[in-house]
Amino acid sequence: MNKSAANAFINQVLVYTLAPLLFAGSIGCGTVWLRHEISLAANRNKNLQASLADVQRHLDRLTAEIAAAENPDALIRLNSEMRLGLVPPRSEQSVPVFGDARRQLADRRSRELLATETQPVVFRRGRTR
Amino acid sequence: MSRGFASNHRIVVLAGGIFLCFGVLAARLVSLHVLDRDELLKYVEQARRSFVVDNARRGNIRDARGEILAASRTLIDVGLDPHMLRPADEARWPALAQLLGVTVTDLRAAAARRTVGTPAAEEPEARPMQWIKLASEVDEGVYEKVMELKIRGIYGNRIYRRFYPHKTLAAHVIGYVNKEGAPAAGVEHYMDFFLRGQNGWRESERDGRRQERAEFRTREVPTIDGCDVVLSLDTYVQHVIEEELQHLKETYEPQKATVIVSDANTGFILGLANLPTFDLNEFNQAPLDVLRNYAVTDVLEPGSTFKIVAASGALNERLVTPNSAFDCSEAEADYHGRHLRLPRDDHPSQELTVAGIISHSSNRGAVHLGMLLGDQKMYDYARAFGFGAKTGFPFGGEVDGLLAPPKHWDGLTITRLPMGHAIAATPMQIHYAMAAIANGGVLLRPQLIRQVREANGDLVFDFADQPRRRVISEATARTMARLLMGVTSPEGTAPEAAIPDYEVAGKTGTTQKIIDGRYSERHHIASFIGFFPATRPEVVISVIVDDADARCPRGVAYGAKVAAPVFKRIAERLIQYRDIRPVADLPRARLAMQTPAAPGAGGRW
Repeated sequence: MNKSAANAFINQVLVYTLAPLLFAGSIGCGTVWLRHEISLAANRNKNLQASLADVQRHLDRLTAEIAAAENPDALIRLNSEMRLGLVPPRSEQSVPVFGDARRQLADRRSRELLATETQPVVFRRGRTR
Repeated sequence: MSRGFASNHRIVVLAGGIFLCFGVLAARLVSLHVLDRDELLKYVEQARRSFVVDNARRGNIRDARGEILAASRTLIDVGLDPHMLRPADEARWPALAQLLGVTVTDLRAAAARRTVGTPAAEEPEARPMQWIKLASEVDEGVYEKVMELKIRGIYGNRIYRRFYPHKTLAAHVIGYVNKEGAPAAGVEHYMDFFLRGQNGWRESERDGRRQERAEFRTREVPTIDGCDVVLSLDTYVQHVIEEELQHLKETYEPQKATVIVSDANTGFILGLANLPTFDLNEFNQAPLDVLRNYAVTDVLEPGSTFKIVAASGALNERLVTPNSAFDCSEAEADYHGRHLRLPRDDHPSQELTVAGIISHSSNRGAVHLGMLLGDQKMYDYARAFGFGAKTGFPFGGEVDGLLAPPKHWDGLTITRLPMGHAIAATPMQIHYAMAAIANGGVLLRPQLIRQVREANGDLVFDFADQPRRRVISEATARTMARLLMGVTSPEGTAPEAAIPDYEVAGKTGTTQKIIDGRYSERHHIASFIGFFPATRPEVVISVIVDDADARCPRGVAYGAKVAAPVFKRIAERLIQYRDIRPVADLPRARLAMQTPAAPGAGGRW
């Protein structure tokens, strides 16, 4: 084997050795990168789930607080503390309406208009010159 | 390179050394992977394996308008890990102590506890303390402030707790979940299957800092939150009746009292309250006796309210008409060849029609009606009206009550049963017997659960009214309603229950309590069971007050004096709230729409 042939052989050996190494290396690196990305995505997902659970917890807390604030006893206490003087309506203050309330209101309004705003029509004979 | 170094001997030693190293390495690997494999795998499994349970959120209980009656919320048990505390954080301990409501001395004492107890004989070293509780059930808001202090070693564990925003409101109906998270009573217990949801879980691995490695999750079962349960109960109606019970308590100091309000047409319960009651958030501080739902667990003699059974039966069998007259002045009567002594009558009269018997609540008149029906029919009608058997109220430990069949009756039972003695019934049974008349003669099942909805609002179940059986004909029910209107007339026993412009039908009851085996003259149960408007019933209201005699005039708590006014006040508030209209087209109503309001006449509410 002459020197140039030996170099070519060594070059080939190097190429055939390094190429798979590079290929395997790149696959390895790719896999590592992929797993890293999967890990990041999974962690992001986990954090989002935790945030959702947090939001749900806060919602539950607020819902409970709102419900407690709307408790009739609490409202009566507030009414007294803030001196609003609100009282439930007495039976004399409410009157049941029979039939269609809107129609009755409209009728009443029409009656008022006809009674007060409509002027009687007067016909006058015109003069001729 | 010198030849001496590369001598064969040295190469052999070097190679031998390298091989030895590899040999040791190989031996170790064999030891780790083959010999100790199982033990090590177990350790790794334990150390890295993570099994996390996600608790399902318990569903809410809502009233008919969607208001929350029971909800779940998280609370935090805050504690410290004494091994992780830093001296640099000690300056923030006073702020921490203030937030948690403990003293700094307590904090220092907790921080000084490094081990659990004293070393036992078999345990040479005391176990290190991992976590010492400082405060229980801390609110999320307070916990956030604690975390903002950034004190290392202070952290909390979240726990789910049931929260009842309305405290005592409908306590006997809603029930509660105990500290172990087990539903113990009421809707909480009965609807637990829907409320509790389904816990989720996931298997994954954790790293050296015991943090979950989300990418190694292998199996995951999602959590299914519990459903919301919607009741027919209305918070406002419930509040009204509880306010009235409170008023009763302040006025008469009764031993017990029960008010039930239901929809006359469907049987759905709009409100149910008992006195005494308890705060659902502090159920563990209430005496066991108070936790009972008296409306279904306690029995009483219905007294005069039971007279509707004898009258309805006699009318339904066409044995009498409303105008049939009976001589109620005689203290004795013949029945199947026997000479029976009739009960004492508080309203002695020469002659009373059936309408008069009802409106005057005549004991002797009711007995005459009962005797006209006969033993078996009287019993059959009592059973048909729901006495002596559970009403079907789904929870609270309902009892049957007592109603003996005719073969077990003694000679006097027929003279006692028609007036509501020799029988024991729950307030719920008495209420639904009256509701059967209001509903045109059909006995309804008491219902409280209106709907079951998923957490996202989708409908799962919708409950409709459940008729149990027809007790009397519709015509008889109408007649009975008309006769019961006489009770609230000026001539009746309870004009106190009358509401201007409205037809109110009802029946009073004043029953002597049995104390030490004898009817007591000083302890009574006062009741008024009624519905309105009588010819087009919308609500049925029962007021039963136990032993309110002490503060009553002449020491007797009459149904008309104690229970009927409560009925009236509740009814008046329901008229406005539920927009219940009088049946008649009243002139006042017509005028309201026709007459223009005077300027500035708007009333202040």
